[in-house]
Amino acid sequence: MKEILLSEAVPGKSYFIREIKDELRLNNRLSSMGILTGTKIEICQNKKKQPVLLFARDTLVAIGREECTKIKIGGDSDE
Amino acid sequence: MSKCEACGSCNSCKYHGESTYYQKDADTPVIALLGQPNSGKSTIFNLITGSHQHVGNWPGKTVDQKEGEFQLDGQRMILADLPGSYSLSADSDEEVITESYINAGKADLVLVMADASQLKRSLYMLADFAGTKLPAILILNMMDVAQGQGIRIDTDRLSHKLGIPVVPMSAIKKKDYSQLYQTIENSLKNPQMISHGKMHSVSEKIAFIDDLLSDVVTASKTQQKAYSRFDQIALSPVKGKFIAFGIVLGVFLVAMIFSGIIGGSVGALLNMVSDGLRPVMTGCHIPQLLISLILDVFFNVLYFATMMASFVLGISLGFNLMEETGYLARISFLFDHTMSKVGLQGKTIMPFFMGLGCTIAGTTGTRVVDNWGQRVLAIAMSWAVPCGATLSVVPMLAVAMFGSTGGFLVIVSVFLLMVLMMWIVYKIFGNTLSPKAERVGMIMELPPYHKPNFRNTLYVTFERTLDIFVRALRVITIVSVVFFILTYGFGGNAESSILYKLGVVIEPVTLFFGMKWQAFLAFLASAISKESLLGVLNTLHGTGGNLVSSTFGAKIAGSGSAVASVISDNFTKAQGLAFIYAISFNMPCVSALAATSRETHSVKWTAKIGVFYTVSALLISCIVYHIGLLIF
Repeated sequence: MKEILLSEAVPGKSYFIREIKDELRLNNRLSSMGILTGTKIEICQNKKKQPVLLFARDTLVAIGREECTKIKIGGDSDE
Repeated sequence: MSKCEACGSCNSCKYHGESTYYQKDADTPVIALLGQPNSGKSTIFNLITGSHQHVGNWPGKTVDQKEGEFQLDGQRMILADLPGSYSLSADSDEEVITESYINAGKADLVLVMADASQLKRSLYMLADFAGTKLPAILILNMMDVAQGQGIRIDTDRLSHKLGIPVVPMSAIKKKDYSQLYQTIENSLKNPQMISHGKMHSVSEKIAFIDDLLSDVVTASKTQQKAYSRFDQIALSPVKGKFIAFGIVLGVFLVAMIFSGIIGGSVGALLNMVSDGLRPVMTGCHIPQLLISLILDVFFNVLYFATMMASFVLGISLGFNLMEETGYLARISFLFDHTMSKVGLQGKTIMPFFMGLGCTIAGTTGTRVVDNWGQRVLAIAMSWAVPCGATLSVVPMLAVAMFGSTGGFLVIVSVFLLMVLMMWIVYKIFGNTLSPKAERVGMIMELPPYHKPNFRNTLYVTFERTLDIFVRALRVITIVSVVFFILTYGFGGNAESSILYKLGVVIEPVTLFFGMKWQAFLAFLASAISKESLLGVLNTLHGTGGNLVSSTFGAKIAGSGSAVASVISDNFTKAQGLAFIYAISFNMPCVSALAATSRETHSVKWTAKIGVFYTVSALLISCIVYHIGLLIF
């Protein structure tokens, strides 16, 4: 599967994080949630004008739409 | 770390608070609580310290500093609640404070909190903390939620792998604390540090957590457990918002009814006492001035403050319970898209809504926002929301002057202008308080739902409301006494008061803003309470009573149709419209000002926002008046 943006993710599917834009705050916040390149995520909900809701590392996490355009995801694990 | 302000002797002092309440001597251990927001840290803090706690702010910072003391087997200990932060990466004020506190190595013992129901994520703080030369205990909170989800944790094994004691518990259950206390005592005698060294990269920390949990947790959480069926509805764009509005409206109504009952009974009691005291005091030849000061001013000030505090108590209790159950995070999620346009978090929608009841409730409600700048911005914007008292006055004025249809349109226009005003506040203060470069869009965990501890929440809410009540009472009393002196007619009628003489002199200026002197004085009087407007207008237009009791006795004098005819007789339409806008967008009452300065920890910002609103109200009034002159 080729890389897509997190904002384009399909609910119910699982992905791996491929790339996170190089912004310090974004990376700090995501990593404190345990989300970094290679992390497996499951998409719970992705609706227009709402943050994307996903499940990663035991936790339900909401990520704002703008942030989602800075995160690339794909189908295969890098691990 | 700066020099300790409390005792001046930095070398022996382990506790660097501003406070003088909890002085540390050589053998008082200091225990620090470390954890991410929502980890149950404050519940533990409150249940351990009870009423022996003090909330101030960190020197030079706008972050709450909470500290308290408690005793274990006769040994006094200090508990410091470090600000909730997601990691020790020095990303925000909270993190800088927490990080430097930990790195300074001044605590004797650190309690690191983690959420047992989502260990993979919540152990991140512990991974960040590892390598620090401080003894620690790991608290696994929310064991009940984890068990409910079928998660089993081998705590002995976890403790063995980490090298520090692990205490599984549920922070809301009192019976779980004995094990925690026992472990604290043992750790102080026999300190243990995390065996793993400092980790530098994020992936190293994540690998550490995964390795730690590999043979410790069975039946890890799945998506189905976290994303419950209720959440699928509660987080949907339309139904979810309906549920949210329903819940918020419910809290609002309950608080209204609660404050109505409390306010009503306190009002009746004060009336009874005041009616009984008046003849007695007159009989004792107490000067009329003093009788008026006590019975008209102090009694009514007490009534205003009680009304306000009971509403604030109801609202805050509702908010805090929502936060504890985990539902507040869902509201943040639902309104994130709308609110992020003005640089605010989604949950700020609630304090705005609460502002319709009482500005103080809206102001204290912004506690749910964890960033100081965004909080001050939210408070500044919430001031534009007309409060319950304004809403009890404005429609009456509008209908009296413009009839029912016209009046309705005026009220609608007030709400439209409110939105515009909030937008202007955002445009003016937004970039300073919530700089675009520093804004991070929502990256937030939605915690699992769990039962709150009602007694603990009620207790904490009550303490905070009492604090606000006392502060508000102090300010409103001072302002009221000044106003009393200015309004007290030494000859017995309004014309002999200082305020009248002042008002007549400056009338040429106030007329430019569309306000005759009577209207301008009513505008000023509304600083005490918005309800006093009607009474003051009534008196100044010579229909009865004296100015003092009409300002302070709003609950009696503010009634009625008499006022309506007074207003329509004495205001031109242009003046009336200008006046309605002026009082709707004037700064809130002095009690709300006191609350704002308490909540923002900043007199400077309170003054800035206050000046902004006063100037805006006069400006709007001026513009409306001059446009009105052209139309009517």
